[in-house]
Amino acid sequence: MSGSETPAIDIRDLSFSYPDGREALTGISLTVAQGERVALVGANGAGKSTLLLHLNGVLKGRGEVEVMGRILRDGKLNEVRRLVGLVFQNPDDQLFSPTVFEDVAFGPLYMGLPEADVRQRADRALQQVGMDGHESRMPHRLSLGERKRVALATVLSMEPSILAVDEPTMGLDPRARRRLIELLASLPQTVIAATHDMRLVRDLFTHMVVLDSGRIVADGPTAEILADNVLLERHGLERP
Amino acid sequence: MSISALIDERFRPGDTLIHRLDARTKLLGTLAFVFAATLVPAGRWDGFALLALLLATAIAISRLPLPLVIRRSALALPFLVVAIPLLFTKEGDTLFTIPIVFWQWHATAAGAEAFGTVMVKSLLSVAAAVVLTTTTRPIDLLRALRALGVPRIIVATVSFMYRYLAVIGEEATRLLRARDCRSVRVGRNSGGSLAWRSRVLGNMVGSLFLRSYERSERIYEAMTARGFRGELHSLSTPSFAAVDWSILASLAAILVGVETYVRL
Repeated sequence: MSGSETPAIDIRDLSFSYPDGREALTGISLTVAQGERVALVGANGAGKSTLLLHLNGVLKGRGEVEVMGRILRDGKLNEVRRLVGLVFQNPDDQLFSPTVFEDVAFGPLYMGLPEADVRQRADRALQQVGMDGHESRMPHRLSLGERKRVALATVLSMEPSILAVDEPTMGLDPRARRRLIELLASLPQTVIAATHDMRLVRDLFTHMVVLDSGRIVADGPTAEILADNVLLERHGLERP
Repeated sequence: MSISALIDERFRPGDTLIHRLDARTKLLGTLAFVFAATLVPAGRWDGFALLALLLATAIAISRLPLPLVIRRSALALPFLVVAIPLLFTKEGDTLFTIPIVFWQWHATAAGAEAFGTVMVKSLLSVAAAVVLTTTTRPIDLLRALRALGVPRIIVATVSFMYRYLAVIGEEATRLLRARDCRSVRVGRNSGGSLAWRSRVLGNMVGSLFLRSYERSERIYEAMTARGFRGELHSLSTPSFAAVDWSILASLAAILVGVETYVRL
């Protein structure tokens, strides 16, 4: 962490159980500095997505979640939802409008921004993800790589400080994957991503957090953790 | 709460006589009960009371919470709206009058009796169905339908609906969740107009429909790949136990008794 700057994300002793009693997260404490890129890795069902859903209050566990110095609590979720852009694993869940433009404009429109601002933000977000010129296309006619990038644009248009991305590269062909990695690397935001793609972790993320059965079992610089074969093996992971 | 959870929780596990009965017995019993309720002549409140007592016994044996059965039976209420004209269309003594622009609408005693009868009949029937679905696992109910000779294609359609309603429900939940994450209220102007929000919702329903349609194509292809030729086969069902026969026989006797009594 750099100096006394407010951390982007500060989670203290967070636990969460699903309504059926299944414990999904246990005693999670995690600090992410501003501008840092952190990968959440771990086997299927380790709690990665569940943790991401806590960052903007979609799920509420016991313990404290602080985003850019603001503690998440009921009634204060709006502010935090503007700061944290959550990108879901399946772009089809995120894209529900008839055209790409309408989807990217949804967030700013909902905020009640003037039309000129909305247009400007949507254009800028589409430019950032390299999808400008596709404004009037229908989301379900796009390739998966394009849909993933548009999904990212739908939160970029809200100008968040933090991007929380679930499985950014899953199902992408090598070229689409490369483009998405370059795109994520070019963004100034703090990024926290859940992923199984260990090459992506190595190439893009400065820090990594290993989750196993809802607990953090390792948290540190990517290079150090990736060098620890025993740890990776024990938690069902592989070196890239 | 997810939408699929709402569908799943229809059935409440239990270990009572009613829960253990063969699903065919319960299905036949429920159908017989509904027919009996329908056949009771209008205004024979004593007949309806006897049927209600029978149903109450079943509810008591199955240990279902009464408020739950009542709440779920409220499903019948919207359909009662169509019975309201009965109040005004029967000849007889006027109970009260509603003036509507040029007309005077006269509610009659005979009309009230007809309306009350429809109401009691539908509530009794729906409550019986609620007891059936709350004490029987959906899969057993589907097998029972098949065993009682309901055409395969209909049972298959219902079973696909049951299987994928949960999937589509989850899909809808995820869609709504993704939308809510991007719905930020800041200042007075946020939230958008009602028309705009309705359009967004319409788009979501539309995309959900398209995706369900595409999914059905994929499912059909996967079935064809495993040899589906338009005919569904099912395993054979076990035979009735003695308790099933005796329950069905006593139920038949009671219902015939009630029908005879109200016609004496």
